[in-house]
Amino acid sequence: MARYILRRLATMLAALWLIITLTFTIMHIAPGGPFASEKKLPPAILDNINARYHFNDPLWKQYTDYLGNLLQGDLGPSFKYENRTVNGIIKDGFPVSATLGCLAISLAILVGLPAGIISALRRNRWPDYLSMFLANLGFSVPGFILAGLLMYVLAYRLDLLPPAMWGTPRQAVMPALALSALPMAFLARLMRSSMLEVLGQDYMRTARAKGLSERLAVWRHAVRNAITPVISYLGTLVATIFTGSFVVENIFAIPGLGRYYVASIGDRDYTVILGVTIFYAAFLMLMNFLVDLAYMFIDPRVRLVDRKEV
Amino acid sequence: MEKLLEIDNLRVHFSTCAGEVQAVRGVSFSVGQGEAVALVGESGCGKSITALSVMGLIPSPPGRIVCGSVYFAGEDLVLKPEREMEKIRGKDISIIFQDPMTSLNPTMTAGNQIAEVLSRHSRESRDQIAARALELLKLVGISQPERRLRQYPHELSGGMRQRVMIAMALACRPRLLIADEPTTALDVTIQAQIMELLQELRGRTGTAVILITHDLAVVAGFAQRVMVMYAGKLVESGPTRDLFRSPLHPYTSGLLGSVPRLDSSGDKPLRSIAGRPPDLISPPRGCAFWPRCSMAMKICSLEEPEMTGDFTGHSAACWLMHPQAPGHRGVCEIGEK
Ligand SMILES: Nc1ncnc2c1ncn2[C@@H]1O[C@H](COP(=O)(O)OP(=O)(O)OP(=O)(O)O)[C@@H](O)[C@H]1O
Ligand SMILES: [Mg+2]
Repeated sequence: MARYILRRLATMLAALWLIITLTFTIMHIAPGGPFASEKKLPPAILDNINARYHFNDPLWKQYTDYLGNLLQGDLGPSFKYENRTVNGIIKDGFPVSATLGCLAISLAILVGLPAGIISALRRNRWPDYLSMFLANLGFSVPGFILAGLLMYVLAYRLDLLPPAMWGTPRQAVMPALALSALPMAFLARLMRSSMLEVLGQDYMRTARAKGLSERLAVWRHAVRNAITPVISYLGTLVATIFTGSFVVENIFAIPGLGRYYVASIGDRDYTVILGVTIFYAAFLMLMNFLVDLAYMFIDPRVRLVDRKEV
Repeated sequence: MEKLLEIDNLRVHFSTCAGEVQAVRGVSFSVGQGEAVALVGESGCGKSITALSVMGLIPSPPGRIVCGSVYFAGEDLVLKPEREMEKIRGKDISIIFQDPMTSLNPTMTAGNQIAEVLSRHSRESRDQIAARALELLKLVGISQPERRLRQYPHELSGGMRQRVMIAMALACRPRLLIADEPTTALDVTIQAQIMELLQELRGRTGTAVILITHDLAVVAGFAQRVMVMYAGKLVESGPTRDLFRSPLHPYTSGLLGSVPRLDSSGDKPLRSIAGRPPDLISPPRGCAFWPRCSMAMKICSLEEPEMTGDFTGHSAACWLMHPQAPGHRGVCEIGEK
């Protein structure tokens, strides 16, 4: 177990290093820079800028400097905003994105899983048809259309909720809904098919043969077994939520990390692009790792593969 | 012998897209208190469905009990509401399924799976239940029982898993145990051990057992009475010795002919019955076995034979037993013209 964790951490670090190097290289190969603009800057100023951001150093030196700073947790200054650092942007933006993300994930799980379970138990009856219709809808309507629709109906027509911005719980409702629709739909469908498979298993018949009521058999034996494949999907779910947040944060004018990230690409704010990419990569890897640990904890077959006896 | 279970004219159908499958077509038999009977027949003849009907576990839809009754200790289980059936399942009637690999929950320890049935049917404390679970594992002869309690099914061998299933089934001291091909999925050496265990436990607990199998070799040492099913019907039943020594139905003879015998010389090939069982969506008129029967007569394809038998309880449904049949078998008929 400890060896497995160490091995996983080592591969994660290697992958992270690869991502850093690749992103760094791409950033420097790509033409244009944050200070390239239609207006020609006076050469003196350009020199000044280049010196300040060490653009005159050889590339390998810039790279090792960057890695060195990174190891100390310093992602460098922003090119675009004079007095901001990448660390500062992440510190400001990430809590907002994380709050929104957690809301969306909770919503997706709290609605998606029960919907999937009920669908499977009422297979081919109206609760199943209804929730699968909604799931297909959530699956096929892109987040930004849903966001626009919600805004139009709930904020503009009905005036129930504030249309945008961030800070109050009421402002969180629409973005969380828009963000959770896709993973919710996916979870519902996944849980449904997983449940259907489990419900047909022999051990479910054994559970009933013991005298358990239908409800107990489903709760104790079916849900637990059906949920394991769903858990292994949670890592991907987190990634889906974060990519979704790039769009949703922009639509609802939420000062989250996703919004800064998208803006930094438009601004060619290299250090921000680089820093936030690395941050996201590390974060998602960590999430996947935690999910795998949880999976091992829940499914004894994964946990104890090497203890099998005959 | 007092009757514990009495099945009367049981019919079970499954609706499928191809049509109505008549899985069980009017089966009647009874099992006495503490009696060991065997239900044998080729694959698909309705043995498991008969067993599941007794448990009230016919998957519905697509299955349903069309008619008939299942009297257990004097009460008709077919009419019992689900709530009442739950109290009987696992307590008064239990079942062991064929495949211990898939019949145990993979994410629950063996101990918890045994404890579950105990806590469902008794009000004992947690400690008492844990102690009982351990005792049961000892009873079914598992090595290192304390350790097994905490292990998951995938950590146990096939034989151990089937022992856990047996422990679970016997946990509440049922009056009737149905063993649906308990050894089919196991290695040959383990098969013998499991049958020995069942035999021993039956002797100790006095539980009535219905052993379902298509392996006649395991029947001989275990069951007092054998019932032979074919295409959803009983075709022959009788005391094990009589049935083995002088089978009345050509199907039974065929089955016995396909059992390997230790005393026969190796060069004699095993006979198996030619042909396949009929389609249960539209079973043939008359005797369902006639298309495969080497002794079929004209009447066999026209009319169904009734179960007829002698005073020893050996009976069969075959026109050859009719007094007017050529080479009529000398069984004294009861209720025959
Ligand atoms: N869920 C179902 N849907 C449709 N038909 C079914 C279903 N379950 C069983 N049957 C039919 O019922 C018939 C009897 O099945 P059953 O399982 O009782 O056979 P069996 O005698 O136990 O055979 P085996 O030795 O293979 O276990 C089979 O012909 C099968 O096609
Ligand atoms: Mg069967």
